[in-house]
Amino acid sequence: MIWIAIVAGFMLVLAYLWYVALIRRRNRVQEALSSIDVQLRKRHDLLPNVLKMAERFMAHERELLARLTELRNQAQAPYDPRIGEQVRQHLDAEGSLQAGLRQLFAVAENYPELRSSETMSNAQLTFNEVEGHIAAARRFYNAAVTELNNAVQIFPGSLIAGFARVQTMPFFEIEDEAARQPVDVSDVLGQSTGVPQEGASPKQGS
Amino acid sequence: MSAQPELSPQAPHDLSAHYRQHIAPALARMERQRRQAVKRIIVLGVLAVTALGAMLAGDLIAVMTGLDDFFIIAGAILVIFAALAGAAMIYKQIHAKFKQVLVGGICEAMGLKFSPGRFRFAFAPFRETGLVPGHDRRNLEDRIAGEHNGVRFELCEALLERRTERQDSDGNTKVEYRTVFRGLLMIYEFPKRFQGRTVVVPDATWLGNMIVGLGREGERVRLEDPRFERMFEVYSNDQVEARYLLTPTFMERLQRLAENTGEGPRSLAAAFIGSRLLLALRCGENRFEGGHIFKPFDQPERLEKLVEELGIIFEIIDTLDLDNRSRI
Repeated sequence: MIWIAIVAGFMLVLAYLWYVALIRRRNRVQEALSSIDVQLRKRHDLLPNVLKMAERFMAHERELLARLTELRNQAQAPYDPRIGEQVRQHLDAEGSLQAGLRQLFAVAENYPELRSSETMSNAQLTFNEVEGHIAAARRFYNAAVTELNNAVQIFPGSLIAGFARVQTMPFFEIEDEAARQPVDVSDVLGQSTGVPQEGASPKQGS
Repeated sequence: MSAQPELSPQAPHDLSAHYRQHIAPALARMERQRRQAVKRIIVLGVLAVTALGAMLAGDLIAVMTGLDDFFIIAGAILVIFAALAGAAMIYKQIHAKFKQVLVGGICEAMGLKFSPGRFRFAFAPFRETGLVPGHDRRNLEDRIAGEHNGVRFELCEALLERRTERQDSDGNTKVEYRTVFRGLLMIYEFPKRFQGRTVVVPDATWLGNMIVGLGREGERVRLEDPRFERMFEVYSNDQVEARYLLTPTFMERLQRLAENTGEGPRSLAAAFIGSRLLLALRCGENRFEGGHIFKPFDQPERLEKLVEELGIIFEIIDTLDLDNRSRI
């Protein structure tokens, strides 16, 4: 009888320690998620200035600018950081916003006046720096998520996580369609040598 | 005079002309002084050996005749010490002059500032961040400062020693100094802005990391690159910033640097602090000396070796891509 009590006590201690580890890891993910949000806010703050400037020069890109505003609103929508699905939607919206911003800067290359604007080049530098910070926060978040998900999915973690209502969290992955496209070497060479490309996008005032 | 040396293709500036016009004539002028110094050192060496011989002979005679040999032994010891001290002084004087002409001249041609001794160097951060081990005595020499591809840097050689006491069989306490670090301490301007403190130290196996980690400021940062993780341990007070600084590309560059310089992969430690990158690189040999004085000063090998030694400064900037304003 006493042995059963000892084994049961031992199991209880073990289960408690596992529970503590799970909660710690979940909190770590929350911390990482909030650090992502801090960095994402920098991106959101940058956007209005960029859009304001772009509107002056990029009359042909109204659709893109409108989409960016919409994406920003989606990305700023409130969410519950404890619910995996909501976190996934939030991060997906951010991924789309990032892709949209990259597209904007790429399209801006075709507008010489905008490209030569000091404010725009400063904005692009800031954007690159902000993206560097976001990438770092993303790596921290993904590392924390890996640890949490391992602890939740491996038995008996799955059992304890069920009781404690700790769930797996989604990874912050970048679905950048532009990055998946094959690079057109002639485009790159053409730009670097200043050779005008056939069928180039509209220039300002065209 | 010897033929002009072929400069390393890695030399950042064309030094041949400068060497021919300024350094080689100055070294040629010093050659007579070198020969005189070598002669004097040899004479003093012979004197010391003679005194040693006299001391042994006097001792032998004293044993055989029963006479007191105190004055012979005391006199011989005095002569030996005086001769050795004199030889060391002559060597140091002529070598310091030569070093200033060769190393100082080459550094000047490269746009670098060379100070062989008596200089200010921000050593404290190296100790605070644990890049160098605890020690009781230190000697810093050969500070080189300058700029390469827009990156400002400063470095010096360091010899750090720890004091140990031990008792011999008679109960006398003997103090000894053991070398705990010998190598280069380098400070580079870093292209990214950051606030916190991130330290990268060589991996010391599971137990070693656990013990060392207890005394470290900040939290352990686990990074994705398994090869990097096997080579280094990272501690930081900001998990996100540590990853901002140690991008996958920069981790690869650090690994490459650790493998290609110093005394193997575990000889490199780095810290990001106050918008600067601090590097401590263990290397056994004494650098930036130009060689000893028993060979002609204008030997091409001296310049080649020096250019190679100085090349490490630029190699680090290039390998770590510190002038990269794209900040990756």
